Amino acid sequence: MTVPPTRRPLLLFAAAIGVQLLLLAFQIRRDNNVRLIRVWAADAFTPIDSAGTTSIGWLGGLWHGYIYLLGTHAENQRLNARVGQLQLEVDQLRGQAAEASRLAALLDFRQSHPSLSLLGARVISANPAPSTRIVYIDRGKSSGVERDMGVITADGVVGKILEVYPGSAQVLLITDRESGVGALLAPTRTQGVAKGTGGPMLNLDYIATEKVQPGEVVLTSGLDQVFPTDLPVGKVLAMQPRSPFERIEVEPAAHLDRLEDVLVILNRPATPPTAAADPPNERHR
Amino acid sequence: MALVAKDDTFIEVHKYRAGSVIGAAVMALFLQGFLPKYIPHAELLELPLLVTIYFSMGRRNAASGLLLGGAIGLVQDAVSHLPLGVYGIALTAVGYLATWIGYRIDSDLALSRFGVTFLLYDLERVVIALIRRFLLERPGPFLGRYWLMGSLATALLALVIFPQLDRLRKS
Repeated sequence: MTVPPTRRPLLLFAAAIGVQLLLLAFQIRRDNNVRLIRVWAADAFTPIDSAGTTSIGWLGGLWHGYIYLLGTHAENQRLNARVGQLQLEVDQLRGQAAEASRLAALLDFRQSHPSLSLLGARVISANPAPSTRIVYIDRGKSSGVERDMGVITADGVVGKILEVYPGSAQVLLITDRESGVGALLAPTRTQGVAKGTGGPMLNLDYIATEKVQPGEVVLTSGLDQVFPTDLPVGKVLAMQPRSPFERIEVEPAAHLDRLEDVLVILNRPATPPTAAADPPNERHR
Repeated sequence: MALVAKDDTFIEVHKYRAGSVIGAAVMALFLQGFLPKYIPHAELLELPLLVTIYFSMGRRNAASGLLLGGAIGLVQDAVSHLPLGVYGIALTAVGYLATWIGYRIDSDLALSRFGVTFLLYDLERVVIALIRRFLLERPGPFLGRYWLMGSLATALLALVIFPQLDRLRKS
C-alpha cells in the first residue's frame, strides 16, 4: 500500500505518539501493581476473545445441533438395538443369579437333610387346566421317579407325584382340591390334614378345640407316608370356630405360584413311631 | 535559506549550522533545570518548548519537527520525576503543529512568534494535564492563573530568544 506524501507526516506523527503512549503504559502501574499496558492489552483482547469464544460456541452448536445430527437417527437406531440387547443380557443374568440363589437354597436343604434321597428337577409347565393345580417336571421314570413321591422346595412342601412318564412327571400341588398332606401345628404338635382348596390357600382340617393363633407354623406329620416329618407346610393365616372342628386357613410355605426348581423325595419315609392316631379317612392322592 | 514549492507559492525553509539544533536543545534543557535555583518563578518558563517551536517553524519539515520535539521531551522526562513519554508526547505534538503553522504564517514576525508560542505553551500544558489525569491518574492544575502567567512569560521570552537563534541560520 502506498501512502501519499502529504499523509506521511501525519502517519509519522501518529506513530511517534503511539510509541510514546506505549512507553508510558509500560511504566505506569495501576491497582495490584499491574502495568497499564497489560490493562490495555486485556481490555483490547477481551472483546476479541469473547467474540471468538462466542463464534466458536455458535459454530460448535451449529455442528452438534444440526450437521452432526444427520447421522443421529441411524446411531439412535443402533443404540436402541444395543440397549435392547443389553437389557436382554441383564435379564438373563438376573435370571441366572436367581436360579443360582434357588439352587443354593436347595443344596442347603439337601445338606441339612442327609437322610433323604433327593432328586433335583425343573418345572417345565404349570396349570394346564385352570381348575387343577398341577405342574410338570423334567424328571420321570428314567430318573427313578414314581407315583406318590413327595415334591418339595427349600421353602416347604410342594405336592406329590401324580403321574409318571419316561422323561417327565405330573405333580399335584398341595393346593389342589384333591390334595392333602399329613400336618401338625408346630407349637402343640396337634395333628390334622392340610387340604387344598383349589385356591392359593390350604385348610387345616380335623383340629378340634384347640386355641390356634395366626402365624403358627404348620409342619408335615409324616403320617401320610409321602413326606418326612417336620417339613414346612405353611403358617396359620386365619381361623374360624366350627363344630366339631375349627376351620383353619393356612398359607403355603412354598411359593407355588412361581415354582422353577424342586426336589423329588425318592425314598419313602417310615411312619413315625410316636405318631398319634391317623387322621380320619381322607383320600390322599 | 532555500525555497520549496507549496501549491503555487514558495515558502522559506531555513537551514542551520551543524550542531546548532542539538546544542540549543542541550542548553535549553540545562537552563530549564538550572535557572529555577537562582531566579524565582523561572520554572514557569519552558525553554525546551521554545527550542522545539523555533526549529520546527524554521525548518518547516514535519518529520524533523515532531522527532525533535519528541527527543527533547523524552530527555526532559528523563531528568524529571515523570514517566518517559509525558513531555515526549506533548513536545511531539508541539513540534508537529509548529511545523504545520510554519507553513502558513511568516514565522519571522514578532507577533507570530508571540502568538504561536503562547498557544503552543497552552497546548503543551493541556496535553500534559490530560496525560496526568487519564493515564497517570494524578490530576494537576488546569488553566489556572499560574498557567496563564507561564504562557505569557514564555511567549515574551520567545521574542528575546528567537532573534538570538536566528543567528544560527546559514545565510
